[in-house]
Amino acid sequence: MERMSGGCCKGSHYHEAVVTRVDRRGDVANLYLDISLETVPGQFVMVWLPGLEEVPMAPSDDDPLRITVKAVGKTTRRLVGMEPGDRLYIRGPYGRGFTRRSGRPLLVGGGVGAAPLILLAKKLAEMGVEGVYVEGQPSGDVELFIREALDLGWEAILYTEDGSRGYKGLPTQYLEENLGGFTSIYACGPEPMNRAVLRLCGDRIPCEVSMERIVKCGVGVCGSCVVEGTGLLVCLDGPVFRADELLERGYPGG
Amino acid sequence: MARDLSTRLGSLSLRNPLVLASGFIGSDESLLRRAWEAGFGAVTTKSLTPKPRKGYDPPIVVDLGYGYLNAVGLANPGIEYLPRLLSLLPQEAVVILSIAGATPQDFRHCAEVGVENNVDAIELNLSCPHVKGLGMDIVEDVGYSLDIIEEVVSLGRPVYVKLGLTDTYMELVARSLDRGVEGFTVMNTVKGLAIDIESGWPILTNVYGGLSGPAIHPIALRMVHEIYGEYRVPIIGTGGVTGWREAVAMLYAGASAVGIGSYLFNRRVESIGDILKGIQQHMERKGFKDIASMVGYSHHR
Ligand SMILES: Cc1cc2nc3c(=O)[nH]c(=O)nc-3n(C[C@H](O)[C@H](O)[C@H](O)COP(=O)(O)O)c2cc1C
Ligand code: FES
Repeated sequence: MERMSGGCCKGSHYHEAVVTRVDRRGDVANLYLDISLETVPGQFVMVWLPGLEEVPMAPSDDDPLRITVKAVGKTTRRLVGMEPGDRLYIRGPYGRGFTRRSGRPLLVGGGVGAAPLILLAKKLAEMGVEGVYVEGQPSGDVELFIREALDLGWEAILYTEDGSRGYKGLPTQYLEENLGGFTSIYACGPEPMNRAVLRLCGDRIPCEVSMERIVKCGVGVCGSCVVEGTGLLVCLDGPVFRADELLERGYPGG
Repeated sequence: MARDLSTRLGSLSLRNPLVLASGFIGSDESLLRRAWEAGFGAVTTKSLTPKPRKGYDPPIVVDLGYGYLNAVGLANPGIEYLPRLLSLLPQEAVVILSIAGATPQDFRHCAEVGVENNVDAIELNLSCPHVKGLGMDIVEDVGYSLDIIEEVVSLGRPVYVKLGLTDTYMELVARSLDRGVEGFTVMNTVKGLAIDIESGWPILTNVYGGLSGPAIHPIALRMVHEIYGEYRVPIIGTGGVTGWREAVAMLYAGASAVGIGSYLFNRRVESIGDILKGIQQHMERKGFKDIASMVGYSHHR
């Protein structure tokens, strides 16, 4: 297996990666690749399909590299439809990832936002940290990483919006009811979920949130990924932000 | 004693000679405020066009190691966005409005909106190398460029013409000075191509893009030197300034102010403080009392 160390493919020297395994659940796919990449959980790589587009992805595993894709546009639809042997082109990692802290962390992931959190859980578990992993999905058929979190020896809890599996409701419900039992919060999900997390955590507890915006250049110049009103760029200053820095800069949620 | 970095760029007073180049974090109000707060002497907006433009799909930039290639496709929120774009800047911020278009009427319309919103100067982007009909094809046609320049100069604001690498730029400089432009921004990117040898594909979605960064610095320096040598006019020297040394060289070649663009690839804008500090230390070491005495210094050697 080709091993890329962090930052080796800076400069747009793309690394060709071959899909070795595809695990599809509804409109979401886990693509296992034939390379490994040292990243900080929460950092992202740029994934390029020549002829289509380049899209940012926060890996859900690093050794071997795995990306978790939801079909939303033409490029992600093609990615979700990939088969073993298909090729894609990768540069990175970019951006700032999660800060790993000991203590008792709560990880809250919504939709494919769960991807960087399962990698974070794995890295924390390697440090001997035991926490709780909560995943929210629209329905039970796209449950992603509950099994993997359990295998790490963590407690893992699923919420589904339609109640088809796990608890019915949003993963932030768990946060609301159990905030006091943790020493740090990590979250990544759709905008409304992130806002709810920021509102619940405020500056009461160390809290980091990974934000999503349209990343075009990935290197902090085009401005397309700005978190409106804050002057912060998702690709350069994030994608992971401390709750207090977002709130201080005027991000609505506090 | 820390040296005073304040300087003049034509009719503009700047707190220091660093100018945010067009195209870098200049299409969002909170980013423009952040750039001003980071310490620029002036900020240039992204080139605004009469209507919003979505730009090209990614990949839009390539990091070559010795420079960058970009084809953003003039993505911008349109000139009507200008009031909002300026809304978070303090009164004292020096703002250069960059505009682009296809016709003299386009440029005039955008410039009028700029005048209404009280921008300090207007920069004419006649030289974008990767959007057909909105750039290089204009600056290569000196007569057409002059038509545009006349329309905008007549509005009475300081006008800077952004030059690209063409065979005719010295002719355009001479003739646009006759029309009353205040100065020049030198230079825009240079058309180029990058190919990914793993897949065989051109990397940029638009295939061709504009080369910037360290690779073009000597060319920009030469153009500044040539124009200043001939006309002693205000110049924003832009191209491959990725540290204080290149900034000092730009001033020595004849630039009154120094554009900062590709330096910001993968770097937070606050790090321009390092360039300012480097210029200041150089002034102390060499005994320059102000920026003005460095402008064109190499022409006296
Ligand atoms: C990503 C990117 C976007 C740019 N957009 C514009 C633009 O909208 N208008 C313009 O006049 N120049 C634009 N430029 C050119 C820069 O303002 C500058 O002239 C050029 O990059 C050379 O300076 P540098 O080497 O410091 O980057 C852009 C350059 C880059 C790399
Ligand atoms: S994607 Fe261009 S600045 Fe972040």
